Amino acid sequence: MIWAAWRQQRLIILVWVSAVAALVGYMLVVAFAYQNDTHLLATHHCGTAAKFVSHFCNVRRTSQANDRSQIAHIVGALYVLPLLGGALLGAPLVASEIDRKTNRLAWTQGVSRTRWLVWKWTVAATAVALPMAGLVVAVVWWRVAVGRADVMMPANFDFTGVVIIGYTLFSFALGVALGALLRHTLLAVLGTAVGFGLFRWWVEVGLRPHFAAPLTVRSTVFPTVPGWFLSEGLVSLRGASATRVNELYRHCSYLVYRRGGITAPTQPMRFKACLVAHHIEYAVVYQPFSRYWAFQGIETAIFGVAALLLLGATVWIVRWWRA
Amino acid sequence: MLALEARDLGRRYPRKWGLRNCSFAIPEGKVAGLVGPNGAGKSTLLRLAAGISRATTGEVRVLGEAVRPNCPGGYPKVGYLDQERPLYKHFRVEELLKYGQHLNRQWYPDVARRWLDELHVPVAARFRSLSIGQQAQVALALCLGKQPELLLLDEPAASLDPLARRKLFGALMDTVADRGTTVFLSSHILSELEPVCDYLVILSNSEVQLSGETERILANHRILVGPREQAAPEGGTVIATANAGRQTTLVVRDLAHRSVGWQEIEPTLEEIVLAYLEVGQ
Repeated sequence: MIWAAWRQQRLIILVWVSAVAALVGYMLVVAFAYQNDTHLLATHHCGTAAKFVSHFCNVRRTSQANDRSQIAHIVGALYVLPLLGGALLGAPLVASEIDRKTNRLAWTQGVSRTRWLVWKWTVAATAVALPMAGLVVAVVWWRVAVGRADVMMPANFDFTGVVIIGYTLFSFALGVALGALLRHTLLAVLGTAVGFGLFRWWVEVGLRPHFAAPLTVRSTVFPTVPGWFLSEGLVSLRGASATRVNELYRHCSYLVYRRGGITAPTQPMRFKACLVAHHIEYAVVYQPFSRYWAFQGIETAIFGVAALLLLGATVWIVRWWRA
Repeated sequence: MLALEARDLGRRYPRKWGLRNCSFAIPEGKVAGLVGPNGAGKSTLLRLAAGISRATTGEVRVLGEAVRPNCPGGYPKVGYLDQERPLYKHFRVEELLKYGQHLNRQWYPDVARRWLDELHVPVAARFRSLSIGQQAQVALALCLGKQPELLLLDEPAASLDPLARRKLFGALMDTVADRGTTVFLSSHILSELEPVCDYLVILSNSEVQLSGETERILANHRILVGPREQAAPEGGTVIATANAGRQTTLVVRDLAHRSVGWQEIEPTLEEIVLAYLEVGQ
């Protein structure tokens, strides 16, 4: 069964592995170019006033800007890749058999439909996930090399780390299930794109902020937090109600900025003093950077379990097939 | 034991019945023909027996066991040849045979291989590059490689040249003789089946019109020719009536005694089948 499953999807698996390998190669080239440009700009003191306008520095700066835009393209590709791989290998897994009626051959051999499906699924899932595992290793190095260290923010969290393996498995399983349900490869691909997008959005917005109780930092000045910024607010140290706090905040703004004018350099100091006088502080809710790998693990597990549930649903669909 | 048994079997499609009130029983070791016009439900019946389709009513039993889709362990004792020969087009022939070997615990590589070698089908060629006839032979080889106890063949002779056709039927006769295999094969050309079948199921308009051993069918039916005005003979079921001029021709089943005034003729199988198919229309 392993051989049969591999033989059927051999071509598409090779396309997939080559696509991931090509992306890793491109990532390396861009990262080295970016590091080289950054290094040259630093060693030639291009930041200083004297060298700022020199021809060499201009060329390097343009080159670095070019690297940055390519890095943005790679990040975009890393976002799309899980969906692409899942749809490419998942959607046709059952749908193409039904389309070509080869299921009639497969289902009349000495193997039950369940066994047939689970083997096919496992082989293809391994083929889709293994290259992604290699990619994760590459990205862990790459994100540092190209200066994307702030990995707790969703913009970076979503393509660094092991979550992309979970995303890929999920979109694959969704593609298989929709292919079996709709019996049409193209519709399954479209459905996978929509379903994958919605599920990803729901987990990121609805679940991820609550993987662990978020931390709150309080300060008289607006704080920058080491991690994923979730929300900001104002709190009263004397336990005043939220409405009262807002009133006081407006009072300070009015007192300082409206009356005194917005441009005077001392105004921020007076504004802060006003807040302190009324015992009001900023409160920022966030998920700290230290939870990065724990969150990666939780989110990967969510998508992995969802993929297995989808496999269960597909088994059920295929068992009850009324050809 | 019965090789294949249908009890009140029915399959409803969204708009119409593909098969209805279908009951018959084929004993082991028979070569049974399934005859009927296009769209009569022959393929539906075979797919139900192969476990691909799910019955809406009734059940079908193969080798004593009720057929259901997703049978644990699959269908190792049944060889099924689909009408459309749906095989993996990009596989080489030898890879298709390997596929059969991998998906069946019981597999006889020599049997399948010998079949293709005798017909000079190139095993290194890709399936899609073969002629239609050769593709049919590969699909058949995949059925035979299992050495099944029951062969369900949907239009096995279609797209074969007369020589290959004769060879096919010859080989089927051999397996029946050697291994006691039961064969259930469909065709809309009766002349193809007549020389090989010793059992017949006539399907028309989604219903079984008649089933039984060919010898008994021949013995039970008579053609009566007589004047048009004459009343139908008693003690028999008139299947079909044809009027030509002042003469009437009847096909009658289970004629109890000789009827006065009618000329009795022993019909051919084809005449009987055509009579039933006309009724079904």
